[in-house]
Amino acid sequence: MRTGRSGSVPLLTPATAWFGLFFALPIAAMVVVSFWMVTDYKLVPTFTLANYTKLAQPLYLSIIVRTFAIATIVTILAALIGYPVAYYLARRLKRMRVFVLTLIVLPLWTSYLVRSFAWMLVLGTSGALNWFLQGIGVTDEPVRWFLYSEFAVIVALVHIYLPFFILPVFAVLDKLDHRLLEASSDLGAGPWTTFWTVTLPLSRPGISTGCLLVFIPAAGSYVSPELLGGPSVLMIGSVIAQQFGLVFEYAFGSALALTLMLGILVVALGLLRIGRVQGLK
Amino acid sequence: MTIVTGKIEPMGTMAAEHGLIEIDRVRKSFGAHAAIDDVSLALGEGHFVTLLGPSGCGKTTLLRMIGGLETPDSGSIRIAGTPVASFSPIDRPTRMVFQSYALFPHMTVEKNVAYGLQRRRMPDAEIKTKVAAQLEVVGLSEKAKSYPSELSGGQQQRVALARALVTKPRVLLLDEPLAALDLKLRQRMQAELKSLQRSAAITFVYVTHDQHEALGLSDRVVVMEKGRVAQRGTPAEIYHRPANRYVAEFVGDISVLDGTVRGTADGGARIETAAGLFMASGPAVRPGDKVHAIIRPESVRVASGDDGTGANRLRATVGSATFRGADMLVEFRGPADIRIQTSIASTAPEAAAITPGHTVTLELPATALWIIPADRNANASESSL
Repeated sequence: MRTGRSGSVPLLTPATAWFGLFFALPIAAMVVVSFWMVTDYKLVPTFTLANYTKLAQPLYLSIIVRTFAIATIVTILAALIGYPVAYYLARRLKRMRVFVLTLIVLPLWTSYLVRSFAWMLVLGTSGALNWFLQGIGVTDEPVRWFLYSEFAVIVALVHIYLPFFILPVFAVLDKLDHRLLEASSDLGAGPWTTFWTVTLPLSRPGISTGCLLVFIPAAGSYVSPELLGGPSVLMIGSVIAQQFGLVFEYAFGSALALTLMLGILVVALGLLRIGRVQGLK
Repeated sequence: MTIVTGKIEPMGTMAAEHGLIEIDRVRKSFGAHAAIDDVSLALGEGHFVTLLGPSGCGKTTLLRMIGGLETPDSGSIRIAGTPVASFSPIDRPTRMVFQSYALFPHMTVEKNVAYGLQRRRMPDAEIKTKVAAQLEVVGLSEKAKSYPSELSGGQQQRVALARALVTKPRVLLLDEPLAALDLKLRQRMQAELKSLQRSAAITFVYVTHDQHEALGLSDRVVVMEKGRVAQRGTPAEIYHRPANRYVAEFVGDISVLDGTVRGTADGGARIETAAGLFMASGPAVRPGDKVHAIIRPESVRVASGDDGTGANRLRATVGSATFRGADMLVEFRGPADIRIQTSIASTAPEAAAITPGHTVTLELPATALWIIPADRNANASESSL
């Protein structure tokens, strides 16, 4: 083993170099910059904690809380909608499987931007949803909070990231040995008991991966909140973009980005822990 | 190994037994393929019953239908008088041991075994005692906290058995449970299964394609062919009095003499073959019937002396000999290219005389030469011998 390990070092060099150059180095730079100051739109290498104390201001604090709250809600909704879909696809559907899977993946081929714009057309005051609700007489006036609201952002993000939840859960459920379910039923369990004691615990790795794949981009999302949230629903992604692109506050922008990363890292570690099932190889 | 002469019913006596499991004209198809084609069987309580046949003969489908995992297209399966379909999952008197064991990978050995008891809403303390006792029986007490992935194949097999047995089923269904184990372990598990079955006094229905396993373990064997029952009986009946050539060949080696019945006697018949007249035993036949007379290698005797003209004797030349350790399998060629397989103990005095080309006299005892009807689908040249 020892010779094998030292022998693999040359092989790992390109990967390590790539990782160092394009991941470790930029992050290290961001960490350093986040403790610097910006004066006259220029970075000044003077150590300061100001960028981090600024984060504690109610304005930024509320944005951070909103970001993680929206990402959490989006993840939970994606799980609640995605799990039954994945279950149905993997365990019930036989013939139409490939077709339905294609339908699920198809939206991923269109631009993220297009999908966000599409929701504007659906949720706007003269959009499809209001037209429909007025048509059937549920409401006389267009509902205003459909668009430019947290509701709009959540709906769009769930729609955009749902396939990322469905696919890993589908993969796990598809591989699930049906004899385990038969064994459970043979031992006297009804379908619900079998689901709670066998199917669900064994789909945890897929659920965990799916949640990660939804939570991470949702927490860092930028385009959807910009287009659908309006000025009142700011998320960190937009603020970071502003710091770098609009007001040239690189140092504060770095501090924000690192905070976002750290928050995501904590959630990701938690999710990975949930996804680890003892006994599974 | 004595052959009972007298009036012989090749189908055995199982049909008359009181059946714990009664299978009545069951059919089951998967698409166009008839997996089970009109099977009726009665399996007695407390027996070790084996469903034997090659893959695709329907034995696993039949087992799964007994266990309620598959529903017959028509016909009925009753256990102790109650149709299988009308049992609730908890009341069902059968439990299945799957070929792949189907242990829950995310549960410890202990939890796997407790699973069935928990479904029966037993108090925790009682579950604990029963699980511990059952693990003791299968010798896995120290592995209680291990996960299935940490166990060897044989240990996983024991957990699967414990998980099923702890719920005290009346019938244990086993689907090729030893197929994944190596030879040594398989032999040991066979002995353990047999003693478990005896001590637990449970009816075992055991599916296998291995005739040695079937003959060695069972009280009753059901040989299946293409979704039908080819024969049922005790292992000795199946082996010594096969109902047809399919069964005869499936459970062991045979040599075949084709012939025509020339006269009948009590429990037997005189058969004219290319090698002369032979007395054989078997089911009732009529003069003129085309039959096969078959014999197992171990029943063929190498006679002393050169006289090939006596009763049930023929002269034959050694074709090939295969040394198998305890014995030698020798293939002789007789008149009209009749091939006779014989097994001769390696230590027997006549073994020394077995060299290719050597001619000896073989005796095919009338009690061991068994009559089966000629193959219906055999072509004319074969059956005219």
